[in-house]
Amino acid sequence: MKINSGFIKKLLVYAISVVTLTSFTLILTSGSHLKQKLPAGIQVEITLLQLEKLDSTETWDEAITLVEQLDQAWSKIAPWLQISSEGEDIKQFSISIQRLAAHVQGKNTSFALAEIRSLRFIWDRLGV
Amino acid sequence: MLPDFMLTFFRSIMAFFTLLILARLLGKKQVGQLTFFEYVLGITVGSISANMSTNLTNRALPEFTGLVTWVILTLLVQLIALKSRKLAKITDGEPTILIQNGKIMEDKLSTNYYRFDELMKQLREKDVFNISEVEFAILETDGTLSVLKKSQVQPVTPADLNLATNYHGMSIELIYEGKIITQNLSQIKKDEQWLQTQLKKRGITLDQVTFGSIDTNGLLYLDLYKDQDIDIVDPSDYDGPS
Repeated sequence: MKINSGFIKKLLVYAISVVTLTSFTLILTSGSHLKQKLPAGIQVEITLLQLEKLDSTETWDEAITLVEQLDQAWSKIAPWLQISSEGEDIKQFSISIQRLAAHVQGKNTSFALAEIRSLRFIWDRLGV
Repeated sequence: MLPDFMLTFFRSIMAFFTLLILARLLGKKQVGQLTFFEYVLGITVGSISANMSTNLTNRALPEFTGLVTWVILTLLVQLIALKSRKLAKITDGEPTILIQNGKIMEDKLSTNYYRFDELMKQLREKDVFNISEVEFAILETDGTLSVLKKSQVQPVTPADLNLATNYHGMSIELIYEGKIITQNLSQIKKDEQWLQTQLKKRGITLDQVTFGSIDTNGLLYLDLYKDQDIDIVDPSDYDGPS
């Protein structure tokens, strides 16, 4: 059977276009998926949950370690989330971790709790 | 964290290829043939893709969705307009007769916000310097003016003189930058050997040829890299870089 080369060319052009646009859509919506699947993303989620429980009991030494863990996990997951998130949210999350570290070191419960709430709010928004 | 320039780089790649694919989908209309709506659409799509590329404050997904939506809507309108003449009239508008039987339609000029000097300018661009030569002038939907001159001032054609003319079709490219375009060569039922013989007859080799084509009368046009025996005219009148 003779296959029309014009038809194949057209099909190829359409296939490349569809694959490219689909890949871009997947990349741009990958944020929420990566947050749940990448180890660093899971680590951020776990550490945030631990911090939310911790600060009300004021165990500051443990809190310092958790904030460090959060900072490390965040620095690993952030580049993956950047392409699918608002630039402002990424910056705010980084700033919020630094503020939380300062409040935990200063043993300031109310400010630390406010910062954790802020981190939770931004984390839930990222990549969605 | 990725630095901003890296993020801009990745987003630009996505915006570039998205725009490239969508622009191909929209067709081959030239900028000069665009209606006012299509012109505005082009600006909007360009603006959205620029935002997608460099505005890091926003997420890229809404910009991407906006871009695809605008183009899909345009395609839909174009497709429906192909089937429905009525919708085509609504989206593209209709041509307007500005000069009819040599008379200027002043009311049509004003309803199209078209000044008299704009009409004169567009007539001059059509090589009409005397308005009395015009039988009809029509303002097209893309803003260009189509002019029909009075029969007395139109040039004589071979048909007017009942003269027979030869068929004069399109020339076909055979060589581009020293490479044979085999697809076109087989289209005219010739082969590489024939082309090589033709080149040999002229004493040249394939790699010397920048461009080669054949017309419908079988005449071969060849342009070489080295323009020999030609005194190149330099139109510049100063010594600086051109």
